[in-house]
Amino acid sequence: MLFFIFLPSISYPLEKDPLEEMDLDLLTEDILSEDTVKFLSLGGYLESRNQVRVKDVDEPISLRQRLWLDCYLGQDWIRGFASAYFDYDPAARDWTDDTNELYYLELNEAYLTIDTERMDFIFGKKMMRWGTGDGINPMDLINPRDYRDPIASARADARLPILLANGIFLLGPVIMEGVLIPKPEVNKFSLPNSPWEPEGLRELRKMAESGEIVLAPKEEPDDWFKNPEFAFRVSTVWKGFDLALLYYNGYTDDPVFYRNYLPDGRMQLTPKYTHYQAYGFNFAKGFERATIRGELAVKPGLLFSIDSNDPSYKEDSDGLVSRDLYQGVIGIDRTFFTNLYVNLQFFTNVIEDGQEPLAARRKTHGITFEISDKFLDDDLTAGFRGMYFTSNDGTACEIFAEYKIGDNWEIAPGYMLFNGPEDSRLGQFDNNDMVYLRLRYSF
Amino acid sequence: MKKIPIFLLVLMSVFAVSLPIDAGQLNGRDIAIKMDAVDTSLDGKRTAIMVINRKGQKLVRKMERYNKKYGPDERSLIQFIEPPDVRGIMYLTWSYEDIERDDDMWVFLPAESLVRRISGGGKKGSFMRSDFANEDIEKREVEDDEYRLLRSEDFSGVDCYMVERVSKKQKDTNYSKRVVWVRKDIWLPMKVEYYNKRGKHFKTAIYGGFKEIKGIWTLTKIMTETPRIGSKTLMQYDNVGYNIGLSDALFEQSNLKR
Repeated sequence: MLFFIFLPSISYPLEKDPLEEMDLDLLTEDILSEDTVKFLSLGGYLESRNQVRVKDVDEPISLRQRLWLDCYLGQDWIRGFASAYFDYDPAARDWTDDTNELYYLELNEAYLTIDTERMDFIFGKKMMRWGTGDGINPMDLINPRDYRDPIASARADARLPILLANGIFLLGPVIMEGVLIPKPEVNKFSLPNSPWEPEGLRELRKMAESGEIVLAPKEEPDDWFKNPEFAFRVSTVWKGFDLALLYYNGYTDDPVFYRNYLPDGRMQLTPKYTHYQAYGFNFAKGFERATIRGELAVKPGLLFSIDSNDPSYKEDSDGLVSRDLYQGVIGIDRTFFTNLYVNLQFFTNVIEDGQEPLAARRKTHGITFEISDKFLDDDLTAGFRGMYFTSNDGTACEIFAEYKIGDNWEIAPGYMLFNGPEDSRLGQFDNNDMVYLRLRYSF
Repeated sequence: MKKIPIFLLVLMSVFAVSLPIDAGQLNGRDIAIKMDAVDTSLDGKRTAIMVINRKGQKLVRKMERYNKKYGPDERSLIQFIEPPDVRGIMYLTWSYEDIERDDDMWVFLPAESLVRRISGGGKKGSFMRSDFANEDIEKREVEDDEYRLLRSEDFSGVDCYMVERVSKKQKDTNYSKRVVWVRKDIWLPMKVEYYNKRGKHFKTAIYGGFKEIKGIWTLTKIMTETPRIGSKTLMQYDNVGYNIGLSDALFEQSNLKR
């Protein structure tokens, strides 16, 4: 019987190729002749991103025009990558005379990767985001927030790359990773009167300007190798679960304000970035069409401001108290039908209870969400996403669309709004409700 | 054991040749097993160039693909090179023969230096805005489908088996069935007709560029056409290599970096 099975292979030659005679008119010589992996590749984009306030059209938030260039050099075991951008934003004229904000040139990332079979090393200025959650990652502590443009979307912030050394070691099924940051980088203060200046900082600056208080210069841990930060992550995949233990030893990204009184009786506040440690656990698991994600973090002995309106508030102290902070995130995302993507995530922050009441809310919690789908043969992605604090700390919502034209052009219009009490985390930006339009040409 | 008379053997042979389905011992599943056994390599790499023609608009995608077998299971890594907005994005997949076990999948987003676990929820969606669905790109295990051998038929002058494949997990697929023309000589597909959930034929893939590389028959071109939306996609594989000794470390999360 085998004879009959193999008979056809003798009868019909392999030269019969149905695609050989077809007029494909698709693959041209230039496409075929281009190398796929190059020793040196250059790329980037030109972008016009314009954010206009809904409530005050005459004062746009940003009219940023950006040229972004990136360069990839090398192959195999040693590689280099660098990216830089030049911004021109005429909207900055509305709130500052600083020409550095009008024209802004920045080396974004520049690092060297040494890639061996079981050990990898990366040195340079780099972005390194840790976490399994979406937008809310309690152990994502390496990169500081972008103080000029802190909102990436209604449910995620934007970060800045920093100088670091990164070692990755593959030990069987376990990946061990260490990060050393020789010079700590913290969240810089937003510039005075900038659209994203927090309400609390604006008030302090006003009081300092009127002479009511003294706002001392920030005390940043900015000595090279004297105040290094470091972080470790041990991760593995076990029965379909991504599991990771994390440790961070460094400085808070946001300052606490130490209080003291000057001889003339005025209160002086000194922003200081304090040293702390954080311990965390992350997991993620895919289930058919869904993925669940979770993160836990403990940050012992963080400093918090005492509520000055409470009777226990003592004027002879520095106005701060040490408490533990517990953070948790759990979320699920799932694709329904063909491309309908739904992402829902719950988060909570709990500060350890104690004798002195705190200026900050002891418990905060909320949800992040996204619903999006694809249309027009996948050229258009559109949806709704945001963050809602169920602990009355405000809401940010965004209706977004991204339309691709060919391989190079993208148009992304959207509407983002902030709501909540004036002193709340998101409600304070109520005046920044905006429509935006981003036009990008990638090359 | 009784001997079969020679005249009976000759008669059987004549009938075997003239039956609608020759080699009557084979069923659809047997053919799927033979197709699955074509690639005997332990690992491999290839460059894929995909050109999409949508109503006159041409889109180009380039990617590198590496794979390594771990017994019946397989790990693969795809790195996108073009177009510019996805350059450097990587997908790592650990797929398992056991259809009850979900694949482990991760994506690397270079702008954030972030490795993120994803699920197979987008399998029904289009692969990079092409005529291929994500489920068309991934390797199908023999156990994923039910089979029916329809008949033998010539396609482009080549004798083929026509096999109907119906996914066992209907909720995870766009297709009510696929009809596959399988070359009888090298057990590779020549044509696949895709039928939507209403049973209507809506998409066709034609395979070509058959080459023997390191003793393994390999198809290097796939043309998929969806007439309803006036779109066709050509996928061409270049720089195909087998048994090149890829390291296990290539298929770990730690390798997802720029």
